[in-house]
Amino acid sequence: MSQAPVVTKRIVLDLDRCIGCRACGAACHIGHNNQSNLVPGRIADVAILPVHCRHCEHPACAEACPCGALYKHETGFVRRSEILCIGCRSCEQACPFGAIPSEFVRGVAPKCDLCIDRVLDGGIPRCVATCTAGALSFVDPEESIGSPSYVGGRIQSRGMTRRP
Amino acid sequence: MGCSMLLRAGAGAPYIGSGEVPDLDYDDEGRVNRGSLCGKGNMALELLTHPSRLEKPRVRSPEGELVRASWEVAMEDLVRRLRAVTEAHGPGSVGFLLGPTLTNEEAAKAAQLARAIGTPHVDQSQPEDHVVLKGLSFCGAEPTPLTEVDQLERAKAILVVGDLFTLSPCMAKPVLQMRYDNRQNLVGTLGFWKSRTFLFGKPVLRCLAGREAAALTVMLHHCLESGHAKDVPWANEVRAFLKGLDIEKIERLAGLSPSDMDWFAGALEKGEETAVLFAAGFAATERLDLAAGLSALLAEVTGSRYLAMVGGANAYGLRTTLAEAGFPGTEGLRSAEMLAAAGTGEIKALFALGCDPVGAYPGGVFEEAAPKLELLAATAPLGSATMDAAHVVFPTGTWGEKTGTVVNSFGHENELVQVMPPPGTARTDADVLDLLLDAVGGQPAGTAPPEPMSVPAPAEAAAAFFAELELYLRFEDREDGAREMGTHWLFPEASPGQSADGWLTNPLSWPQHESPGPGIALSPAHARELGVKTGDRVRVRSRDAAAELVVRIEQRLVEDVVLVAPYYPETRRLTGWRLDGVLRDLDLRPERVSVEAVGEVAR
Repeated sequence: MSQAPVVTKRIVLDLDRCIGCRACGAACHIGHNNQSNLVPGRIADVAILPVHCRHCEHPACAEACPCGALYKHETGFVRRSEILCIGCRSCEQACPFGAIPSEFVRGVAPKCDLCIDRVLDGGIPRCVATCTAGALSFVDPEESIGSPSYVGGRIQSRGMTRRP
Repeated sequence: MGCSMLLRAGAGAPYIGSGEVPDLDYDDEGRVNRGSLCGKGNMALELLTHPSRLEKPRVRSPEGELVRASWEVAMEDLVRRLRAVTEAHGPGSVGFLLGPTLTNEEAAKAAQLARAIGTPHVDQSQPEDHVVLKGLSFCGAEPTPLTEVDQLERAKAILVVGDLFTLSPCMAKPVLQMRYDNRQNLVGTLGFWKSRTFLFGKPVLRCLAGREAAALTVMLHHCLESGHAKDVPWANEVRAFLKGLDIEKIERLAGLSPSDMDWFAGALEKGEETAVLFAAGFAATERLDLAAGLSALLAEVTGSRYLAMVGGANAYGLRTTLAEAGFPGTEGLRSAEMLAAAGTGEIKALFALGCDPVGAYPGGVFEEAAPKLELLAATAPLGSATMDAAHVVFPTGTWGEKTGTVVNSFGHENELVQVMPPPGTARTDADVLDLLLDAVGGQPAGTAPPEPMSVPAPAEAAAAFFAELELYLRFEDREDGAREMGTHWLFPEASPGQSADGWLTNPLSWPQHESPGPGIALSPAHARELGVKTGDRVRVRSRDAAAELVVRIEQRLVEDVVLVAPYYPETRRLTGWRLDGVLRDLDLRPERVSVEAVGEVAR
């Protein structure tokens, strides 16, 4: 099996731009067999924001998973095996960002796969392509943090832990 | 907005019982959407694979129930009812409403059929279109049209009249891009309701409910008086007209701060590249025609590019196709009139082709009228409120299931390519119309094309437009004025921002539908042998485990083979599987199982 490239890019949300239209959720839903992997984050009925999986360097969800269904894949993604997942909701409890949706579909935890089918072909995830306001971007967080043109992205990218 | 998308048949993930699964991809070469789709566009795939797609025609039985029937029976029933109507009330009591999903070719066929029957009443189904177009053609403005999305991104100031986001999320995207790429850029949003469009407005011009026309009058007045106005032929006449009005009173009528309006009108005027977008659904403003006309006048006098968006993003060709065929002519009723005529009994038979007049028009406009019809025939890919009231329903294909051309709001012609057949026995609208043409047959009753609509001379039209505007602006008591003017709100009970599109975008939940639960797919022969049908439960035993599962009959399945989805804990134990060492993903192996029926199956 050929070596898959390591993808360091992540989905980053610019809070200034998001208008809460939820088109990203719709794209995710359609792209993943009617199973949206995005969590609608609600801020006191004022705003709705998408909460994406950060694909952490040391994923707490994988630590918590009792059957090894969640694991760090060689591409750098945190992946979930549908066959191993028993729907115990440990990952939902463990995720510090609340990025695992609480509504389980087909008895297993929905989990962002970063649209691996598109990304490995050089594309961008469906939610980023769909975003009406251009609030979602698919960038390398290390590069984006230092960029002066990047306004809201740093708010979310701070949440990602990366090895020094 | 008439976006292009790529659909691939059979490329989707093979879930059990789903038959041919299409996959949706974004068209990088799309002239409007450019490599993405909005929430609405994404839902096209859901429509294709919707579990409640209609597969068989339905006919209203003598007991009043809608029952499934074959195409022959349904067509016979339709023709019998149609004959009864035309013999009793004449061919003029038949109406055709054409929905926005129809192609140009299908519209031409519908016109042909109407001529064969001999009725002049053929129209596209969106009542607000006529009102907006009347305003645009009567006002006398000829602004530069907006033809490409790039022109929006290059703009420095854009005026959005109405709820752009609800009507067309795709168009909201370049507007937002332009707004955020340079924070000096201005996007004025004129309207009154709470909507997402107002989240990105800068400045937000919030006028009183439905008073866009008044606000636009003030802005037009400012532009004409400021001295920056472009040279337009009608300037002096309009200037004289506005002189006769009490502008301060109109400012109060609009309920907007005059300085806001003046400031933004100035920004529009001085900007090099500016645009005006008119995106108002049928409940958006008190006077759609006046607001549309005034926005066009404002665009011309400020040198802005102009685009009026009305319901049915791909229905622009429909209108021109019908107009070429001469519909609706001088005698023909417009869509809104047709619905009203159904209530008064003037229209006795109505064909709702690819549209849902009962469900889409709010406030029960058509709900009460529908039962009075002697024939309501509907073609639809999915069940709707119209179907519930209809006498005959034909299942039809949707995007990706038919070939043809459509024209979008920009005037771009898009080609539809068929990638998969419609489900079950469903056919395309074109096929249905062909069948109807054959069935109606004989010598067409009224072969002469209907007389085209008379359009008044430009000066006369403009005079009518400004007379209406003056009448509107002068009314002190709005309610009395409404009664006197006839057309106040098109649909008073409708929620603001709604259009004939219905609430396609707003109810877009974060889609997380409940799945039907663990199931088993059986071949038809196998199911017959067991005496079960779809929805019944069976007990499945394998070497290691047993489970009770819901049956789904899969036509293409080979006998003696059953399919079980491995994505549930219950079903996972039934199948043989191991993990792929590298990807740590599923590697499935077939397993021998026995199936027996449980519970009451002899229904």
